[in-house]
This record gives sequence, structure tokens and C-alpha cells, in this order.
Amino acid sequence: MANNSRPSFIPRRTPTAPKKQPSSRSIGLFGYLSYILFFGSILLSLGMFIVSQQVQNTLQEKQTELATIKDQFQQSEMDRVQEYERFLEQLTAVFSRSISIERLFAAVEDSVVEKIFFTEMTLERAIESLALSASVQSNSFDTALFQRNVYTEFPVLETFTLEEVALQSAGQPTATTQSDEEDTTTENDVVTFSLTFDLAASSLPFSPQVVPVDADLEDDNNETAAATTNTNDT
Amino acid sequence: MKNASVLVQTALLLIAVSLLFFYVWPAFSAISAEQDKISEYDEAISQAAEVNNLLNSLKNEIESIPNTDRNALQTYLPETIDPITVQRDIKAYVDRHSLQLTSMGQGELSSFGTGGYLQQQEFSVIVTGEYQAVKNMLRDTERNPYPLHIVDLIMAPASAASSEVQADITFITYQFISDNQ
Repeated sequence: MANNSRPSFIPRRTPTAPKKQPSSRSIGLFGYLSYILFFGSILLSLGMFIVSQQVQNTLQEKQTELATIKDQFQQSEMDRVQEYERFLEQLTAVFSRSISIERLFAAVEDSVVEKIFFTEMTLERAIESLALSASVQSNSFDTALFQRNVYTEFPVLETFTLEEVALQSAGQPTATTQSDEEDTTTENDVVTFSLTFDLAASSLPFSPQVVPVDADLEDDNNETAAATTNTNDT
Repeated sequence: MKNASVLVQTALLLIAVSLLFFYVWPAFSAISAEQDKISEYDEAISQAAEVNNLLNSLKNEIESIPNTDRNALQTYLPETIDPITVQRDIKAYVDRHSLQLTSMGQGELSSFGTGGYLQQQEFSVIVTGEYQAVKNMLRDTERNPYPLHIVDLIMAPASAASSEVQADITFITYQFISDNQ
């Protein structure tokens, strides 16, 4: 049997820890930074490209949408609507200028006391107001004073001026002044004065009630017969 | 070997920086600008849609006015005053209340109000008759299908012995001046 303890002719290596070879792939801080920045910038560029494309698409969609809405808009329709609006505005302006002459006459008639006679009546219309002037006759100062008091309490006619008071007696007109002294006029005397009412157009509101030109006379004849007019009494 | 690696890393860094400066940053600015534009377009779209909706609603509103009402409005404020028709209508009111027509005439057209969209024309008439009849005539003129506004009225006894009154009346009526005229 061979002696196994005979040393090998191959020299034995003493068991030592394998020496680490320096890796050729080792990356320093600079390397990491450069790789991160490189790939980061690539990804960012890619992202930017995609986002840019999406934004451009969105912009084009918006442009198309706006163009479509613009196409839907019709200038002629807008002109028509604006024209009609102007028409309605002017119509309202004209309509708001309307006043009720009927109410005015009613107020004048309702406020006239007995033995007061209108000899002339003038009406002048301004934009927002109207002036009603009247030449009036009475048989006494008392009646004139009473008439004046009635007007001060009458809603529509409360703003008035009473002036040019004169007494005509036996054909001799005598200028007088207003006073609360005892009335000395006789039955043949005529006291004349002028009245001017400043009326706001709004105080005579007009209620629309269109009557065709060729409408029936209805009760006009009855009204005419029943009417009592101070103007005619003169 | 190590030098080559550093070179590659430097090149990558340079590429990255170049990308950032020459692509990413300009692209970012462009995207911001385009997003601003999108916001402006959004606003414009919403405003244009609002205008269209308003226009449509107004158009529908106009079209919903019944023809009879629309004709009544056109009659109330016509685009042209027809002096013959106006005087015929005034004459009809005068005749209707058995008044005696002394004279009737028309004035010139003149502008009324601001904006230049209205014109007015005067019509003068002198009538004689009972006070109540004159009053009723005036009442009817104020209910005319188009305005006959009284701007001047002088009423006085027709004569000393008569119970009738003479009324000198000035009416005005209006016409609308449209842009198409």
C-alpha cells in the first residue's frame, strides 16, 4: 500500500481568503448623479413630449369648438333682436308719455264748486308735466275763496296758482287783492281770476283700453245728456 | 478604463443638461403658454356659448309674441306715420261724437327723445260742439290703437250766446326709425 502521506509534487497553496479584485464597474457618486440625471432627463423629455402633444390636441379641440360656436352665431339674428329691443324701448318711452285726459277732466269737474264758471281752459303738455290754465268767473269772493280751499285739498290739482283776481261790477272792472275780509260783492258782480295747475304726468296714469276708431257709440249719448258742464254754463 | 467611464458619465451628464436646457425647459414654457391659451379659449367658448344662448332665448321670446300682439305693437309705433290715416281717424272720432270740424292740418316730422330712433308729427284740429262730446272725443283719442297725445288744448265757448265750446287741439303721434331705414 502506497504511502499517502507523501507530499504532492504540486505545491500546495496555503488557504487564504480570496483577494478581491477591484471591480471595473464600480460607480462613484458622480457616476450615479450622471446616470440619474441622464435617465431622468430622458424620462422628463418623454413626458414633456407626451404632455405637449396632449396640450396641442386640447388646444386644437378648443379652437375647433370655438369655431363651431362662432359658426352657430348669426349676426343677422343678433341685428334683428337688437332692433326689436330698441323698438320695445322706444315703444315703452312713448307709452310712458301717455296720460289720461279723462282723469284730468274728471278731476277738474269733481273739484269745481257751484257758481264757478270756466270761461277758457288751456292745456300744454311738456315731457314729464302738463300745465292747465283756466280763466274762471265767480259771483263772489266767497265762492272764489271756497274754490281755492277745495283745490288745496284735491289730490290731483293741489299744486296750483290763483292770480289775476278782479271784480267786474256794473261794467267797471276793479282790480282787487285777495283777502279774508267780509265779502261785499253783490249778485251782479263778477269776480274773475286765473288758475294755473302744474300737474305731474304721473298723477294722471293712463290705463290702456284700446277702442277701435269704428267702435259703437255705446253710452256716449247718455253721458252727453247727463253731463253738467261748467264750461257750457258760461 | 476608469478614464473612459468618467468620460461616458460626463457625456451623459452633458446630454442630460442639454436635454433639460434645450428641450425640457422650452417645452415646459410652450406647454404653459398653450395652457394659458386653452384657458383663454375656454373663457371665449363659454362667453360665446352664453351669447348664443342669450340670443336664442331672446329670439324665442320674440317669436313667442303672438302675431296679434306683434301687429298691435307695430300699429302703436309704426315705422312710418301715414298722415292720411291719422287725419281720417281723427275725423272719424270727430264725426262719431257729432262735432263740427272747423279745420285740420298736419305739422312737420321732427325728432323726439334721445338716440334718434323716434320722430313725432303734429296734427292740429279745431272742433266745435257740446263740452261733453268734446270730452268724449278726447277720451276716445287717448284710447286710439296708436298714440294721439294731446300736447296743446285750448277750449273756450264757441260764442257768447252758444252753449257749445270750440276746442283747438294739437295731437302728436310717433314713428320708429329703424336701422334698416
